[in-house]
Amino acid sequence: MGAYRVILLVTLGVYLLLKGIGFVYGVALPSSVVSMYVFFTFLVTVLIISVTDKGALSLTTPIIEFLYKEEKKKLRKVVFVVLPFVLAFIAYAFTKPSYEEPFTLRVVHPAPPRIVNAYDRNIELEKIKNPIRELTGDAYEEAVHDGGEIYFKNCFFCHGAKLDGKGHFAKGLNPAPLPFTGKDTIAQLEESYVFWRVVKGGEGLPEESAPWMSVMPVWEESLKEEEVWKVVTFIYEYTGNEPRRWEK
Amino acid sequence: MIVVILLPVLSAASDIKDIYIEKCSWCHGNEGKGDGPASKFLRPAPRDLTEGVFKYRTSAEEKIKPTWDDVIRIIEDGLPGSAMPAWGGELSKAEVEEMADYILKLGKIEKPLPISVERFGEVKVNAESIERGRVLFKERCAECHGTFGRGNTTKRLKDDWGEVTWPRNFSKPWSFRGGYTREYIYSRITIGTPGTQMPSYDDPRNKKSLMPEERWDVVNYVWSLKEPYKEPRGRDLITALYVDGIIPDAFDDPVWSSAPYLSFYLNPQLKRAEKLYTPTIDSVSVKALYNEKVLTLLMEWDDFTKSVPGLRGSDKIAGGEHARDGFSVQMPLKGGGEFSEDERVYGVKPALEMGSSFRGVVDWLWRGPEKDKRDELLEFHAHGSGTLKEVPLSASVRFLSRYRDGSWQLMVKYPLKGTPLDFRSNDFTPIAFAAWDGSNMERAARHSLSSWAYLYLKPGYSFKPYAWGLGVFIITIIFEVVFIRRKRGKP
Repeated sequence: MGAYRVILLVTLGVYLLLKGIGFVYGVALPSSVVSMYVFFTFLVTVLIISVTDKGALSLTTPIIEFLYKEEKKKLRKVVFVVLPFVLAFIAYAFTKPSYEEPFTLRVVHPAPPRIVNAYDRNIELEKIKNPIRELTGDAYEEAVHDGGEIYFKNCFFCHGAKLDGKGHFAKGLNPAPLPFTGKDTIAQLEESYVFWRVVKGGEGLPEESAPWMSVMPVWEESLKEEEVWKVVTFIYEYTGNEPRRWEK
Repeated sequence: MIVVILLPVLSAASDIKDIYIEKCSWCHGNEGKGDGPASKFLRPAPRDLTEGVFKYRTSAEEKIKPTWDDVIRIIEDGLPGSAMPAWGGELSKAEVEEMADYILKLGKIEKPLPISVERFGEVKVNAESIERGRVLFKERCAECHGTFGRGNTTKRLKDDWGEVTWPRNFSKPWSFRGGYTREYIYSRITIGTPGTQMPSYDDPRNKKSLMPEERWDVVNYVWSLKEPYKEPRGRDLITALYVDGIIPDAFDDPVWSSAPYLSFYLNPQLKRAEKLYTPTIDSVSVKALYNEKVLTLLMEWDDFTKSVPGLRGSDKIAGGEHARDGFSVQMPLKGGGEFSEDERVYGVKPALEMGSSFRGVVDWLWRGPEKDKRDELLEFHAHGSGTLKEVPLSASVRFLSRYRDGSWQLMVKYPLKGTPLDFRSNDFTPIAFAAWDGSNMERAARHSLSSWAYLYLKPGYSFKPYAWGLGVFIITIIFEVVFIRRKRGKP
C-alpha cells in the first residue's frame, strides 16, 4: 500500500471515529477539537512513515515523479490549473468569520465530595445514613407520606406530579429537571448522594457540572435535615426504586 | 363462593381509591375537595371535585354535566398550561375509565352523560369570515380578551371561587387547556367556561349571544390571532445582525423586519426566598441589531396589564395596591470585555440570577411607569446572592418602551464600548432575561426569568476573506509559473 494511502486512511478513520462519538451521544464534539485531533493524526502518521529511509523515499518519490516525469504531464497540467482555485478557497474559508456557539459539556452526576458542610457541621457522605430507613411500620409509612407532602409543596413544580421531571415549570429549564422515574437516575445513586444534591443544590455542583446553569435551590436553607431525608425516601418509594448500596 | 365472586369487584373499587390517593390527592385532596398539600401553590387551583364543575367540558346541556369523553380527555391528556399532567401513559385505559367513574361519583354526577355540543354551520377559514369575526370579536369579546386576543382585559375577572383569573391569550396556542383546535374553540364560545366569567354565546339570555355561523367567524378570527414565533423552540442563540447605518428609535421601523425573533420561556423564580408560584408572564421574544456604534435589543413580552401604580384604572384591574412592571437584561460583568479561553470554549457563565463572588453580573433593569413618574432604566452589579448594588447607568445606554394590545415592547441601546462589557463583532455574550408583572404583585425576587442564552454579533459583509482568497490564488500562480520556467530552463 502506498504511503499516501496509509496516511489518508488513518486520518479519515480518526475523523470518522470522532464524528461517530458525537453521533452516538447525540451531542457533536466541537469541530475545533475534531480538527485538532485530525491534524495531529496526520502529522504523526507522516512522522512515523518518514522514520526509515525507505519510508521517507516512499513519501518523496511520488512528488518528484509527479513534478518531473514525462508520463505525468497530463495530470500535472490538471493539478496546476485546479490548485490555485483550491488554495484560494481554503484561504477564503479560513478567514471567513465562523460562528460556533461555545459549548458546555456537562457532567450530570459528578463525583461527590468526601465531606459536605451542611446544617452547620461537616458531614462525611460515605458514613451518613438515612434515618428514615430505621423506622418501621406505621412510623415509616407516615414519614414517607410527610415526604410526599414536602415534595408537593416544594419540588413538584419542576420535577413533576408524576416525578418524571416534567413539572409545569420545567419547560425551558436548561438543564432540565431530573426525572426520578426510570432506572437511570436515583436508582443508580446512593441516598447520601441524593441528600447532597438536595441540600447543596445547583450551586453546590463542581465546575464540570456547570453550576451556573442549574436553578436547583440550596434546600438546606429552607428544609430541615429530617425533611430532606423524608422527601428522599418518598421519591424512592413512589417510583419503586431502590437506592444503590455498596455492601450486600 | 359469593365472597370469591365479589372479591375482585371490591378490590377494584378499593384499587382506584388507592390510585387516587397515590396520584391525585396531593393536589385534589383525599376527599377530592381540591385541598391537597400542593393546592395553595397553584393557580388555577386544583378543582374541588365534589362540586362536579368541569370548566373544560364540551357538553351541550345547560346542566353542568360533562361528556364522558371530556372526563376521559382531561385525565388522559391533562390540561396544558396548568399543573394537571397527562395521566394517559401512567394509567391503563381501564384505570382511566375507573378513575373517570370515581371522579363523577365524587361530583355526584349521575349517568347518563350528555353528548358533545353539535357544531352546526361550520364556516371554513377564509379572509371574509376572519374579517366578519374581527368585527364581532371587537364588539363582544374584546372587553375581556383585548382587540388582538392577548387577554389584556379592561376589568378585573374572578371565578366562582373568588380567585382572580386572566383570559386566554389567543396568540399563544400552547396555553389552550383543551388543545388547540377550531372545534375546541367553537365549544368554548358556545358553552362558555363554567365557573368563570366566560359566558355561553349560545345562551339567549346573553345579550351578546351569537348565531352558529357568527360563532364560526369568531373562531376563525381567534384562529388567525396565533403568533407562532412566540413559542420557544429550545434554541438559545440570539443573532444580532449588522446594520450599515443608523438603527432608528422606533419599534415599527422597517430595519427590524430583517431580524428574526427568538423566544424563551420565562419560569417563575423558585430558587430563593420570596418564591413566585403563580406567574402571569411565561415567555419573551427577542430581536437584536447592531452597527458600528450601538447594539440594540428589542424585547417583547405579553402582559395582561399595564401596571401603573396610583392610576385608578390600573389599581382597579390589579385589585388595589400593586407594583410597577419590570424587565431586566443580564450579562456577565467584565472589565474591558475580554473573555477568557475557558469562558469562550467551555461556555462558563456567571451563576444564574446574581452571579457569584468570582463571576459577577451586570443587570439592566427597566422599571415601568407609575403615577407621575416615567419609566426608567437602572444599572445594577452583583457578585452573588444579596450583593445587588445599584450603580450609575453606563454612559449612553438608552431605552424606549411601549405597551400596546397586551404586549410590552422594550428597546435598549448599548454602546459597543463604554459599558461594563464591550461588545465586539463575532463575540458570544451570555445573556438572560427576567420579567415582573406589577399587577400580579411581582417585585424584587418574585419574578419570572429565563435560562442563560447567548447573544452573538454576526459580522456584516467583509471583503477580507475574498482578499485572502484572491491573494493566495495569485501567489500560487506565481509559484507555478516560476516552477515551470525553471524546469524549462533545465535540460
